[in-house]
Amino acid sequence: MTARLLEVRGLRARYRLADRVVEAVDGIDLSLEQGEALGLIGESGAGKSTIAFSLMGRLPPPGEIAAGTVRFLGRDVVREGARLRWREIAMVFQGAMNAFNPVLRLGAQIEEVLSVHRGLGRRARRRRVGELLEMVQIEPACARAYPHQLSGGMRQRVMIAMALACEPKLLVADEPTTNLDVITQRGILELLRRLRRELGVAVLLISHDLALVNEVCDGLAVLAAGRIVEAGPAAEILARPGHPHTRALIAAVPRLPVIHG
Amino acid sequence: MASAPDPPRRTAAARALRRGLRGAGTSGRAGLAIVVAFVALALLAPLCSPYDPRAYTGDPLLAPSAGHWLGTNDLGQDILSELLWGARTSVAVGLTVGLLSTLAALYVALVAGVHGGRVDRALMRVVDAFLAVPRLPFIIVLAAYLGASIWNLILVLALFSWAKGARVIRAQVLSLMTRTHVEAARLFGASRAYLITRHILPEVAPLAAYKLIKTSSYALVAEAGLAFLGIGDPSTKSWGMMFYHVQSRPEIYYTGIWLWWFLPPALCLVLLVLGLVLLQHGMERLVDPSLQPGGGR
Amino acid sequence: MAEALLRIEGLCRAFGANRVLDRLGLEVGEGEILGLLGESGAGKTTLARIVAGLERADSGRVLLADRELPPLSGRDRALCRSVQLVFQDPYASLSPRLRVLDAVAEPLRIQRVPPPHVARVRETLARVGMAADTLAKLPGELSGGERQRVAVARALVLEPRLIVADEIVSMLDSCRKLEILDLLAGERARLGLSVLLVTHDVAVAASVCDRIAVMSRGKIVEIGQTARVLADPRDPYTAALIDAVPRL
Repeated sequence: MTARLLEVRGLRARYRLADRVVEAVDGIDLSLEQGEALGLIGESGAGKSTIAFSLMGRLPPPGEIAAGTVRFLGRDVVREGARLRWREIAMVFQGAMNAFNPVLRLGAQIEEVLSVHRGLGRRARRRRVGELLEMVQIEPACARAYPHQLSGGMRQRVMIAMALACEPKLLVADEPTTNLDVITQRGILELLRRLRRELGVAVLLISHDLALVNEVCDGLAVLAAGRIVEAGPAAEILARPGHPHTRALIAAVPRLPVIHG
Repeated sequence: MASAPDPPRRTAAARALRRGLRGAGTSGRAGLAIVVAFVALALLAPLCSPYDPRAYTGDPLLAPSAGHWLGTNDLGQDILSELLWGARTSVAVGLTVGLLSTLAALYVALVAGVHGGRVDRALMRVVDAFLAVPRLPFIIVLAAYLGASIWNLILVLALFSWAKGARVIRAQVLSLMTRTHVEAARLFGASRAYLITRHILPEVAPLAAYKLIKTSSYALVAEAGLAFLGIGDPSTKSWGMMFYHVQSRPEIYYTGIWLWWFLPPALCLVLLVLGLVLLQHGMERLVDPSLQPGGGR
Repeated sequence: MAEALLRIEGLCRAFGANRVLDRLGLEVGEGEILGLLGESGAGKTTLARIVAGLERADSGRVLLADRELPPLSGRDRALCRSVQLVFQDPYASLSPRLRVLDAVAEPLRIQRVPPPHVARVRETLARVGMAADTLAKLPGELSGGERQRVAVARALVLEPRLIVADEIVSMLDSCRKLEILDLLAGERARLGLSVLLVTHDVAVAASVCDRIAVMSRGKIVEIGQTARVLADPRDPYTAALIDAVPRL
């Protein structure tokens, strides 16, 4: 029987601070099949980013994975993290559009990923960068641009292109549209949907915005205080929310009229 | 229950001190200990010193003995007493130059940074002028011209060390002025004086303290160097003057005299500068939390 | 129609070749919450900062109750009291050294309001939904939503006539957004406060504003009652903004 794309069992993660230990994730189970899109919803501080980092097998210090397993196609992510990171699982961090090196051209930064993880030669790298930028609907000429010359939304697209450089099977996107205006946000959502369709990449979308996640994902998992309080197909959960937290999140979404054309 | 008032200033300061000592790390604490020891030595010199360093208490160039722990110099004065009183001069010069230089730098940086515009530009041109001047030749010439008194020396050293600090502190002031909470204070109608005392100075103080220590250690070595070159105040007893007198005696090259006449002040100078450098490290760690172990998250 | 408290006339501001404000005109009525909508970009925030006095326009004027508003350095104490700004970033707008009590009392101190301030601060904090035990806390101990409440309390403590809210909820979770916006609506009812709510989020504008103005390329392209603008947008840019909002 083929292993699931992503299988998380009993994950516990914590942060060791100077005076105490904070249990950020308190035993969660998650699973994702190939090509699926799962939305992880929760408020700030619920543990969403901690889970995202755990999927990569390593938390930034002083965080540590205390218990549980994270398996990617049957392989233990914590043990084999270095081989899986970026090649099979890629992540777009929160505020990633600001994570570019300001003194290197964007093309060079994507090429760095390609040369480290794929060992491609110069010409092959250039070609691949052009392909990637086209995939995210950015002019290939922007490879010669510096990060500050592009808008936040465009930089986010380039970040996504960089994450897809090694054709990963899973893309983890942590709040990919925060601080972007609605129109740019709509563009990124459309992009994620299209990438799923065309590349078959699975997506784990992390956000506090229920409506946003609903636009892209089939399944939902609601996170509160380090625990998953509700999980299942998005349509079902939205129609019949079980947990009061889910109901509160649904109530927070504004009702706006839909205008066509 | 009544709202919690601000904790009294004394215990807040005590807590800050304890936090500072903890955050400074082993090297910082070691540095502080060394510097405090030397300052104590300098203050207590009149009490600890066995003789008056100017008194001729024995034959010249005596080796260490029970009466003179470090022997005597070429005039018959006790070297240990010279060392202790020398500490006084060196520490005083170092600290005074540091203080004058840092106060000037702080003042200029605050005025330039908070006013901005024409005032800032004018002040920075003055700073540039001082920075462009080649320090050592100027100091030597000026010191020689003004005459070799200790106060002239302090003045000249301070004059050529304030400018860099002004630039560095001004950079931080400019950055602070763009902080949102400072803009908020401006919105309420805060005067420049209020912004400086309440928002800018507390943030800039650690950097100023760091500069103070750095300039002091520079002044310490500079004074010794200038004295060694013969531009010191011959009427004072400082480590630098000891070097000057030592190098004028050819005996040091073929007898063991240098062991007790040259080595002790040299070691003291090195040790004090080391203490100041370690203190600087401790301050860097305090000011920049990312240098703490564990990444200071 | 309520009398205009804030009038902006022919405001121009360019950064090099980029005309961020292009002869912009706008009015905010007495006791009105006006939403200023538009893409993330220099325009809306620049306008907010010019009204607050932190920046100056190239030309045009801003009038508060028919009195011209100069940049901050030219404003007397009374004028500073009348117009307040709440910033976008709750993590930067409070000084990390000041406890909540001192942060909210700061405007009172600067304005030389005679002490004691504690009662007034406590009352203002209660109005924004913060318990009295938060008075001694440092900003580092508060969440983003709580910090933003403190920032709003700080802006309210001088009882201004106009508050400019510059993307004040864009860094908060969806649940928290509504709470802060309701807070402002409550203060409007209580004090007759006028609010210029600058945001890129249509949903935010829709939930609390009386009128909505849409800004594009330095000009106001649409303005009207909220319900009307949302149901029947006349400008294609407005329609695009409304359509772009993700829905359930």
